[in-house]
Amino acid sequence: MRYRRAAYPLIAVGLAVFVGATGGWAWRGYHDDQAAAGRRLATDAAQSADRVNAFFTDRIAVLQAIAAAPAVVGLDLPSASTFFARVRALKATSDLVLIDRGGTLLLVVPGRGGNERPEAVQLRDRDYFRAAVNGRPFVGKGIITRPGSQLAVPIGVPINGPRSTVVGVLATPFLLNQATAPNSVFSSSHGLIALDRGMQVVVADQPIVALTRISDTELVARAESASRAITADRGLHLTSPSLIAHARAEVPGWTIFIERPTSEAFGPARRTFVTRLLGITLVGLLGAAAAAALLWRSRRRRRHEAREQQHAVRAASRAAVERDAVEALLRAESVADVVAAAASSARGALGATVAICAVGPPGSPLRFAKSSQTGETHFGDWPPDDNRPSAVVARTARTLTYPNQSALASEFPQLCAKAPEGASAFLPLRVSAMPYGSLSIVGYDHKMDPDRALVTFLAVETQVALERVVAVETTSRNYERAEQLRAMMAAAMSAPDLPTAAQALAKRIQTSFGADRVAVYTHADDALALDAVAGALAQPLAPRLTDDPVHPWAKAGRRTDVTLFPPADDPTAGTASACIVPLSVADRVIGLVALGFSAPRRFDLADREFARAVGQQCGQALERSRLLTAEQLARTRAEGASARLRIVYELTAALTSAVTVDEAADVFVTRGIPLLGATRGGFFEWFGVDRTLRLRGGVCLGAAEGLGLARVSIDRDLPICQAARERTPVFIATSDELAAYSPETTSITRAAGDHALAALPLARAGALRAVVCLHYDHRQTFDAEQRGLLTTIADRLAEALERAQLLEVERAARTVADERRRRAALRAEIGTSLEATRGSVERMQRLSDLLAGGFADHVRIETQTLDGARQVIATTSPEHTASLAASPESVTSIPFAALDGAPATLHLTRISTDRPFTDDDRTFATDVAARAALSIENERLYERESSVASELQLSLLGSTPQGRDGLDVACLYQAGAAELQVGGDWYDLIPLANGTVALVVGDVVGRGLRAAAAMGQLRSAVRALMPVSESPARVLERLDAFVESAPEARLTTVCLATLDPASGELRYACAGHPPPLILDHPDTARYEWGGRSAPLGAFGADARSEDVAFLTAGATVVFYTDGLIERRGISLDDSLEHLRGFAATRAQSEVEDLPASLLGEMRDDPSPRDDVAILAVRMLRSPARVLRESVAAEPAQLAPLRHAFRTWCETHAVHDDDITDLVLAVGEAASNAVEHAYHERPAGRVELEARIDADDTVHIEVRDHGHWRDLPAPGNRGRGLDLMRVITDSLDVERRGGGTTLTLRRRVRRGDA
Amino acid sequence: MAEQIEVAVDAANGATVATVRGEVDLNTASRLQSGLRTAAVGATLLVVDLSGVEYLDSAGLAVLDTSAREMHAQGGALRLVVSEDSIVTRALRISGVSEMIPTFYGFDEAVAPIGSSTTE
Repeated sequence: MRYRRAAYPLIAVGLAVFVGATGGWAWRGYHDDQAAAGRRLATDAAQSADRVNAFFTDRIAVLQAIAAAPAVVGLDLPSASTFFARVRALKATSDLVLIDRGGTLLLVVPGRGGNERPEAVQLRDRDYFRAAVNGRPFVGKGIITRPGSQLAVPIGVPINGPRSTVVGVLATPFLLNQATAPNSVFSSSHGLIALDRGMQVVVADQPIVALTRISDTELVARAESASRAITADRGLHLTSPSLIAHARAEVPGWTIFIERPTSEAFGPARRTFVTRLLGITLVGLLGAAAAAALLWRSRRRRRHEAREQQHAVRAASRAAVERDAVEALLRAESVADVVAAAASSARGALGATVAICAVGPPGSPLRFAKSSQTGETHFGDWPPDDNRPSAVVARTARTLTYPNQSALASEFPQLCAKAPEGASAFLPLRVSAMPYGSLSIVGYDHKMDPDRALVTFLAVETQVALERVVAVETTSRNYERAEQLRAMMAAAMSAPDLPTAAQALAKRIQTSFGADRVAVYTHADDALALDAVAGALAQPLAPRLTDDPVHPWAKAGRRTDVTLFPPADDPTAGTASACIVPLSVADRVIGLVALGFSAPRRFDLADREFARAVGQQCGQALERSRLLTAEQLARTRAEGASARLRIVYELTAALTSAVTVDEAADVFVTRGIPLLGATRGGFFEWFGVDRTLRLRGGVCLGAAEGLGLARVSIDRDLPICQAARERTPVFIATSDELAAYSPETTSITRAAGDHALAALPLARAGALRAVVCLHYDHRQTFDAEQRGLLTTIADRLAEALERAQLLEVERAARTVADERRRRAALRAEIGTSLEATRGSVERMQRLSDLLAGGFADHVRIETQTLDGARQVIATTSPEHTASLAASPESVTSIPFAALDGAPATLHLTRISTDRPFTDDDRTFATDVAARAALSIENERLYERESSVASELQLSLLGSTPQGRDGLDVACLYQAGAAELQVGGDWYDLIPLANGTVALVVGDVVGRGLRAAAAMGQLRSAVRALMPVSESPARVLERLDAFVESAPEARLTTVCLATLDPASGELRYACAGHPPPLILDHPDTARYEWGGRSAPLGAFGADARSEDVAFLTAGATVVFYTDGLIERRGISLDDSLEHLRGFAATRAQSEVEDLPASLLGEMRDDPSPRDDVAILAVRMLRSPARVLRESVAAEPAQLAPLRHAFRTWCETHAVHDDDITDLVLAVGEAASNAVEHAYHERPAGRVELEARIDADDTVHIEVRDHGHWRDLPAPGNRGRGLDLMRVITDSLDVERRGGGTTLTLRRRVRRGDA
Repeated sequence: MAEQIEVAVDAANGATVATVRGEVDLNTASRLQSGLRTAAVGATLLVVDLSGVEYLDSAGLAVLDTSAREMHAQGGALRLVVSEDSIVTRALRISGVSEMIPTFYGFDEAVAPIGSSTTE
């Protein structure tokens, strides 16, 4: 017993020693094992790291080699295709990116068969960009492209250009999977390998079957604990709570974690030492307990193993659930996918009754997916203010959990009936830290997830997926919309005016929102006016939206926020929904955009934000356009006004110089049309006779179409005809209106490309004169300003035309008068000039020269000789024929008898064809030729006479008497041709005392030298007697005595007269002589038959009588011998009457021409028997005390009439002040007559008679012969009458049937008169 | 033609000046009228210089009267410049038009602001 008693401590001690040694050995052995395992793990990690490093280093080297190739450096795409092939050879099958350093990136996706497809993309966020920035090769973080299958690691190398500048990046993602990444690279003999790059952690199972992305939170927790434990060295760390061994290795850019779950957990090494110490010292106490302890420990270990096993099973099942959920969420590409995946995953993972995932931006309806036990998933929307727990959580981001049904029901009574059994959890989802939704799991077994780890995991994964999808959607949509908005602004800004800008915006807004129709309204004049429409419309939109009655759109447009119309409230039928976007500038609403959708359209918050942004931006753009348009309009108006004024000035100035209709038309065409901005135009003069318009200038309308509108009947359906008919302008502003006007108009204008047309009648006082038309090649507005301008121009043209037409009439009349006067002068000149020329041939030459002086350009006189040959007798001098070479010409030939009856021809030629010979011309030429023939024949006959006789006669007659003061004298002696004898006719003019002259014409009976001698004696006797005798009768008595001693002078007839130029007294006596002829003013001629007695020396001639006549100023007295009036076969009385009649017509012709013209008229005998002497004396016009003027009753004649009157007044030395008043009075009186007397054309005449009495009173009579339709109105003309009354001493108006006479009197002051 | 009339439009001292030359009668009054209307466009003070006019009768007076009314209607004023002892002055004075339309002998006075000078 003692032994046994002693043995027990020994046994106990031995046992304790044994147990302690064994336990210590066991502990150390286990510790060594773990340390060795840790070292292996560390080595393994280092090797893995090296392998990974080498793997990427190899590929970077290959990429660098490619990137260094010249073609890549030059970014030569076609050549680069060969490099793509090389890159593909590296199994980089996804894409190849060439990145421009400047940020413009070029993504080249290798297609099948090497067809690369370049695309410009924005890859700013990609890691490749870092290579471009840093200039160093870059290995990016891995991305799992497909769950559980591939790890895509972007690798980029810079492409260095010249001078080591980085011009791009050659980059490719290497896809790491079982096929491409050898197991040897990523495999580890111990558990998991994790590649950590930033936040992306990839865990590869060993061997690599799949690359699995584990929960962020879990791995982050693991990585953090590992990092805390292993700070700098590579090594092993064992964490007892998780029983996991970690190893970490560093690769440049990468951290590799290798971890291995362990089966046991141990305390720190320090505890080993204490245990061993206690084992030695307490071996006895522990010996017995050892077995029990070992037994307990083995039992506990078994329990632990069972728990571990159970835990592993659960973890495996949970991992599978997690993997499924993550895969489903990763597959989601849209928000709808995410909510569906989240709801079904959550319900499936937890076996819940219902799982709901509801998401939506704050303030927007929530879109939810609801997964129920039947496995179906429902979708729907909740309003933002819904009060069910899912919505509340989504809005508040508060986590709600309830262990059972009653807890949920107590907080949400409304769910009382519906709440399912079991726990429920409502977890918030956030996007960008904002409440964005909720994940609700209702009715699940609390025991399945007591710490809600799985629920949290699902929520986190859903949130991650949601963030990704929302970010993608938002980013792409925001980017797209920003682009659209920028495009809208660009379009609006580049538009020239508001409507164009509005139209551009409408189209782009339609595209951006996918609307079926878009209408843009802007505020104008207290209403909304439709500016632009885009898209197809079921029915027309209202052009104006007014507030009364309040249009729903107008009401919505006044708000500053976007208004959505559900289908029921859509103000326009035919759209399923509508949206009104106000256009605002600052806080001012300037209009609205109405969007119509044929299908119901949801507007989420982003849509509304976008719409609001569009409204603000477009509002600003439109406001800018509006201001721009307004400014342009104002500027255009201002410029237009000054331009119009300038046009009016220029045209008015140009028109003042236009004095003919053609010139006026020319001004319109050459100046007016360009000034008025028209492309072409026409000037049509109106001819009332045949009711036609005739083109006077400008283009011939329709000439190109062969219509020939040079002459247009007024009844045709043309704008100019309408303007002419209605006397109103016709404006056609657009080509559409032009096409609608009439087919004829269309045919004319279309070919010419006209777009607008204006036809303006030119009328004055209701009388149409012409029509002008203007054609424009672009549309016109014809606003009030333009119409005013055109009307003003038309007025100016009409004025010019009226003036020109009056002028033309006047000029035509003047031309005719001038021509007649010229002819008369020419005729007279020919008469006198031929008489003054000696020699028949010379006379013919003279005739030629005279005719060539103006009547014709070339004159040739031919005669026919006896043998029929033509002989040129006379032709014009070389200076007249110098320009004869020019042709064509107008020729006329006048036959006449000359040179002893031989037929002669007068050839007249005019070079210029614009003045061909008229019948008038030929008559004149014939007349001239006949007279010339007479003259020439006379000369020829005269030539036959003795030159001695002729010369003797002329010497006897002496020199041509000169005129005296106050008298014009002309005389002519024509020798008779019957015999070669000197004649006995003579004339004489003898100045007497007191300024009077004696006038003598006599005819001695017989011919020859005896007669000539008697004539000489008588002439001398008269010259001697006249100055000393009292009167002509006394002279005759003394001549009677004289002829007693000179029998050859007996029976001489003589007419003696004395004329006092001052008084006009003509005292005369005729001794058997034809009576003197007095040509009185105006246009009258009379014989003075007084003072007659027998010829000298005749029987019973002792009583001589005389008589007195008075010559008024301008009157002419003609003395002549009987050779003038003796005509064969015509009685003396007839002959005298003929002479008187003819002479009356010559009363106003020049005295110089008078004798010749009388002789030419009276002597039709080419070889007169008797000779002729003619003496004509005219009283010069003394200042007439009486003024008589007669003018046409036309306004243009007023000024000449006043001028004549003023001159008359000045002649009579009327005082200037009186002249001023009298001219005013006469002007007014004449104006009255012109304006009121005649109402139809041709107007009559206005006569003015003025005289000055002895008491210096001026009497003025203004007469007309018309009918005054009415008395002058009290205005204008009344003022004229008042003027006259004030100015004159008396004013009488006398009206008779034959006209009206105004008599004005005024006493005037006179100067020295 | 001898009886031409000229209306030249110019600006001085903020006034529009229409200088008329020639004879104003029934024949030329319409031209004067249109000339003054053209000048009156946009003018607030229209000064019609008649010192170069050699004749002016009631037709011309009517034109001046009309122009004065039109200027008044458009918120402006019409003034006349004449030379002393001319037929124009006589006509204006006899007719009383110079009482109604401010008339000056000197051009400078006419274009001066209203009230700084007196009428004839």
